[in-house]
Amino acid sequence: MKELIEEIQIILSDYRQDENDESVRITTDNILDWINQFDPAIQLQILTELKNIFDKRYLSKNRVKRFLEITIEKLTKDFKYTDPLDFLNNCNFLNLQSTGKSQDVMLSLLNEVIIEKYQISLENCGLISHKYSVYIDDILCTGLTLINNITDWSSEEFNSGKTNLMAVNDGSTILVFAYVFIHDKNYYKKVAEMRFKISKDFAAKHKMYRLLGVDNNYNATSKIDFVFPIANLAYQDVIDYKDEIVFDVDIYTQKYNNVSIEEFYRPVGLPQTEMFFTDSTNRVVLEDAFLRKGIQILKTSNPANKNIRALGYSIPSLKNFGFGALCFTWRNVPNNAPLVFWYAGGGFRPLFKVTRR
Amino acid sequence: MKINNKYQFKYYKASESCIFRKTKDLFGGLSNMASGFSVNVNGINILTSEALYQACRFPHLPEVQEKIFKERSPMTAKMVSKHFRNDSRIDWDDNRIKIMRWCLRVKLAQNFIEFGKLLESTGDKPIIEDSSKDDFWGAIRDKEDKNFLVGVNALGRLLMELRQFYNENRYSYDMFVVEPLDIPDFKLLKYDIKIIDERAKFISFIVKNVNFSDLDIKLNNPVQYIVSDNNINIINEPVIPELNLKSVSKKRIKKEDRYNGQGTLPF
Repeated sequence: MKELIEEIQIILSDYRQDENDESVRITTDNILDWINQFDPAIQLQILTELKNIFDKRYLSKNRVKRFLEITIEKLTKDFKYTDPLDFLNNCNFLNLQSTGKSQDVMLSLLNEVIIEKYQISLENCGLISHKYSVYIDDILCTGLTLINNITDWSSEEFNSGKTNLMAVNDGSTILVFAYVFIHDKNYYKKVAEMRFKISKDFAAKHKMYRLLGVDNNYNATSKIDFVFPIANLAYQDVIDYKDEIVFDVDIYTQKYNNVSIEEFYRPVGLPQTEMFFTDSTNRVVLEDAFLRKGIQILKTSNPANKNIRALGYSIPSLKNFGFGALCFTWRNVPNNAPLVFWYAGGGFRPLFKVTRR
Repeated sequence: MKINNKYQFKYYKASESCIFRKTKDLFGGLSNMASGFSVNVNGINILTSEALYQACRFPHLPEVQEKIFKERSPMTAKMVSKHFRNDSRIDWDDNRIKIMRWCLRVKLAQNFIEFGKLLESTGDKPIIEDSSKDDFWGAIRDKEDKNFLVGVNALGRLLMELRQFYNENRYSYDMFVVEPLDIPDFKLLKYDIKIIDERAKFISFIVKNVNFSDLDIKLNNPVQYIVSDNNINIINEPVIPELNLKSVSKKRIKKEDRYNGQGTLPF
């Protein structure tokens, strides 16, 4: 077990490394302390799966940097430029989120990248034209940030006499999204929302570039690579929590004359072949542990915000235990990830120390 | 009561028919007076098909139309109309049945679930409006044998015709798109009555009710461009294939000019 902890620590070693505060880094002691909050009988299984999860889904600063480099190269090629500088001269990188938010962080990193490689800084991009409007972010979970940002942006001015909406519609600018991780189901939902809330052209003409698309549907072919526990009627605390959520969500959806279906449990038999976790039994152990620990945390800390669920923030109209996201970067643990990863409250010490702005 | 030889009177057996009289009756929703089946024409919300029908009498008197729409009950709407009855459009008698037929089509297109259900619930029985006075739009109970009703029952027949239309054109283009009548001066509040198109509403109703977003059908979803850094740890996915679903052809079902059964009207 000691070895596992060391291996995990190495993967996570650059977490928030560019901040001066040493106390936010992850040490082997932190990891040990964290795992000791779980039943000793299952600690080894959890750590085994955790190492696998982080191998696959924790992106260090260097990897994110590499992602941004390759994205610029790919965009250059796809838009038929030979010199990336030419592309960058016609590219406007959208800065729509407030300071310190993930987009801000990604843009700073992008700035480093293009200064190193092309001797141009972000503020000097797009001086020739804004033919390309590029929206960069790290993780798309619910997609709410994307749709809100882009909706606001669409009504802003592109140039005199034209809004961004018109510019996208008539092709004066091409909207490009670049994400490290996206969740497919939510991305497609947001595309549909774009179609009727913004314009058909927004939905049809934008481009999505990403390193990884997590298929968070749950049908016969899904890999289900996020936390999605199976039903276990033995746990009364889970059943009680589920009933609470159903009650709250019904009240919420009543306003819209809707009833939501229940999506708490992974359908039996899915995934058909376990391709994400190393072992399907371990998977069940981890999912149960994270769910029940999350419920316990919520009981003790009793947060005011009702959208916080045991497996991460969800959408108030959904009947689930939480989003269950398993995507991490050196600077970001999304609040859609299970609480055990990031939530400091109710006496629980999370694995990652996060600052929520 | 003038008996107009142009229209056939029929005898109906109450025990074998679906009868409506009061709007609270089992088949009360078939009445034009029934609430809960509002319509919207040219952007105007109209509480009942009765109000719509009455308003169509006065395309040249928009103030009267407006008065009719302002009434909260179909009864008072009808009373407004009665007051101006002598001022109805000149060709009213020749076109009122066409107009009633159009109003019913609009009522169906814009209340497709509830009104459709109601039409279905009548099976294939005759539909009769039981009236004490009106033997043109409805039928009147025979004084000797209450089990019989006599009248032209024009409204009942139009409803039977609509029922057949609904059965043959269920969820088709024709059910949700109602074109304005090709008669002069077909106007509401000075503007020509526009085509009614409820297709989008129907589609979003289906999408919502079957929880379409659950389905793994990526209709017209954009391709995701993969930025691959060739790191084997991230599970590299194949590009999500774009499903090339051809748009559903708008095959217009040929309008059947013939309707079988009691619904047949000679005009």
